[in-house]
Amino acid sequence: MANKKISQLTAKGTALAATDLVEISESDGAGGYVTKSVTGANVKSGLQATLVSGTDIVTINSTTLLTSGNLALQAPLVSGTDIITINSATLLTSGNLNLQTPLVSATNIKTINSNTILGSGDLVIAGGQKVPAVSNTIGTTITGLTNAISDSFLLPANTFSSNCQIELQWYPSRIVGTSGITQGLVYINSTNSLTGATLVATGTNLSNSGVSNITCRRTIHVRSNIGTLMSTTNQASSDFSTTQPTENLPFDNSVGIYFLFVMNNTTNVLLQSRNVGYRLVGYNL
Amino acid sequence: MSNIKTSKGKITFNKTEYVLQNFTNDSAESVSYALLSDSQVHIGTDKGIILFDLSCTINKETFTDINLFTAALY
Repeated sequence: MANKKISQLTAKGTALAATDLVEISESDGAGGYVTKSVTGANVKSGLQATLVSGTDIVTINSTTLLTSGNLALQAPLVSGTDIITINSATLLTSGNLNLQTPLVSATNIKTINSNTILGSGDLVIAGGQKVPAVSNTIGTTITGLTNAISDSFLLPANTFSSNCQIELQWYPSRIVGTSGITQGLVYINSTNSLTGATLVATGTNLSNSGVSNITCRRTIHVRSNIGTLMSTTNQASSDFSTTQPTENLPFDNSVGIYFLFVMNNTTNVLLQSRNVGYRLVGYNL
Repeated sequence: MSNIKTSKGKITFNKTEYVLQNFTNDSAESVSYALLSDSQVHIGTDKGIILFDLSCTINKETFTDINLFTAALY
């Protein structure tokens, strides 16, 4: 074997056997080398064991990585770019995202008169009570001998149909005055003004000295946009003033109607009064 | 300023015609009108009781006295 290049040696032709000897130069740690031999077993013991897919190396979606070619993977998701957000919140996070369960009419959302409210468009409610005006605010204080607006509201056009029943409740209050009478009146008008307004209700006299409040109620029966006031004669309750029935009131629901709550102070210049709330309910007929 | 036009027992205000007629006041009396103040009056009509005041003219005439104003309506 002397003076032979390694390329000139006879090839073994088979895999390295455990008992085969391989010549090596082992570093002596001081810059020199010592010629030694290692066995085939010595060489193999330092090599990585053959990879077994699914045992020594993971698979992706049950596909082995131990193959040639390119494995195409999805690019990393960017919130808001590759994947939508929900209410500006990213989906790329851990934990649970609480979403409303789909609405099922009559199961987890109520119906109105047996009609579903799920869907587009307008839900026309022909019957049933409407409450277009409620207020518990304190109206402007009216002082002295005058008949002036303490509070008002606009009943928007087409709130009710041309045939309807309206019930108005209001609360006049006398707040100062040892004598004299005050009344809570209600007018309707096309503008928020008393001029040309139509009187639709006269509350009972407030004649007690000092502070006194009453509840007043007026029912208006509307047929073809013409209002009729009910007779309140012989009503048992003191909440109702006695009035004669009145017919032919203009009450056109196709246009806005202002309800004007007016305090009428009489016979005492020191009287102070105001309206302290109202409620209007009605039904289309 | 709104104008009230008068015509033989009728008045026209804001394009609405009212027939003047009596109404029952708080004292259960049948009256054609009721003064509310020095500037306001309730007028009985076929369309209910209407409040008018001195801010209105009657046939383009301005009034400063509510009694003269009311008389001019009839």
